[in-house]
Amino acid sequence: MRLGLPWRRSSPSPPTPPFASQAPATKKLISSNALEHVATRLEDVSPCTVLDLGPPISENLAFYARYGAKITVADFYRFYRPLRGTSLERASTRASLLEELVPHNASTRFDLVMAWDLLNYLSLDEIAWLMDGMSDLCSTGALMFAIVTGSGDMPETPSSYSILDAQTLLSETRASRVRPSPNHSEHALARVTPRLRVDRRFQLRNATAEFLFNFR
Amino acid sequence: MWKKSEQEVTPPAPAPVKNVTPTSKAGSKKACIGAGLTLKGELSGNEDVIIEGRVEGKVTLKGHSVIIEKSGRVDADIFASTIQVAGEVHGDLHGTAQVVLLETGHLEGNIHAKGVTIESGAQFKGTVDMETVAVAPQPTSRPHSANEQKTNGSAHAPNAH
Repeated sequence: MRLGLPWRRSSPSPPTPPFASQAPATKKLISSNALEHVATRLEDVSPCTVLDLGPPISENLAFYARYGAKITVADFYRFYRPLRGTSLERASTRASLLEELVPHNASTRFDLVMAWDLLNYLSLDEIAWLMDGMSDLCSTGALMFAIVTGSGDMPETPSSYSILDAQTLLSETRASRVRPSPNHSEHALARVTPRLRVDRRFQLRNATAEFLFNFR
Repeated sequence: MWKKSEQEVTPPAPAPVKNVTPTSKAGSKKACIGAGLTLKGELSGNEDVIIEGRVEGKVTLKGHSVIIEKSGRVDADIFASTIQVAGEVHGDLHGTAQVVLLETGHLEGNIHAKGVTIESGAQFKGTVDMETVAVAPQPTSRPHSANEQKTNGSAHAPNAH
């Protein structure tokens, strides 16, 4: 068997799907103001190297592929969750963990990162190390799309977001339970991510906002 | 200022993923690596294969289908026409027609295929090369792939047990 790149090491063990409950999905259509900027980035940078930190979704792959993008899917939360708080997390350097979780090689430089609602499910400390590591994997000026929830409750696990078109998302939530949102403020995010800056912010309903960040 | 930007809807149910049907002619044999088998080495041949057990090495079945059932575990790169994954695969998938990742599928590796379908719930980490899909349909002829050598179906399984 061909020796793989470092990221090809097998995960320590198959991750327990956090979505195993498979409760009936709650679906919502979201009119997005940020997606058109994502589409513009896909058009302007060709071929655009895309990192999707969310789960693999056919519609999203097809959307990126229409622009001839090079696509990497990390399904970050699903693979990271079993590693939280384990000895692996404490023993490994943060860089090694990133190697494991984000497929890339030495020459990879992502132009677009789709973080979806991942930041809501990470602590500020986790966001800090992830974004610091991601900065080394992204080209200067790379764009990151994120959905950040304000105060209130949110689904216990991240939702799936399908890109229906450049203006519309379909969110799908299977979590049957909710938990308090960490309510990461824009100021707090800026403080822990000095290598990012907020390019645009679009307010949605329910204290949720779409953010477009640029990697410096 | 405040847009009604969200609404709960019941969108039409997505078209169900069509399970791959092995492309062999009806009545012809389809090889099966049973759940109790482990194959280490190179698996190549001229027919469809269903993998319920474990395969390590390389799988080359150009022009045919490879189906990894839920109990299947493959640590190998796979070259085939259509590849359907319901089990676990660590390796690259090269599907000249399509790659299908079912809900119970777990893939760590790269996908190279004309078409990729991923069911909700599937686990995947790797890159996706769908370059041929991104190109607008044009009436240009595609270059033929290298002539494929038809081989007798022979699974090298020195360690099968």
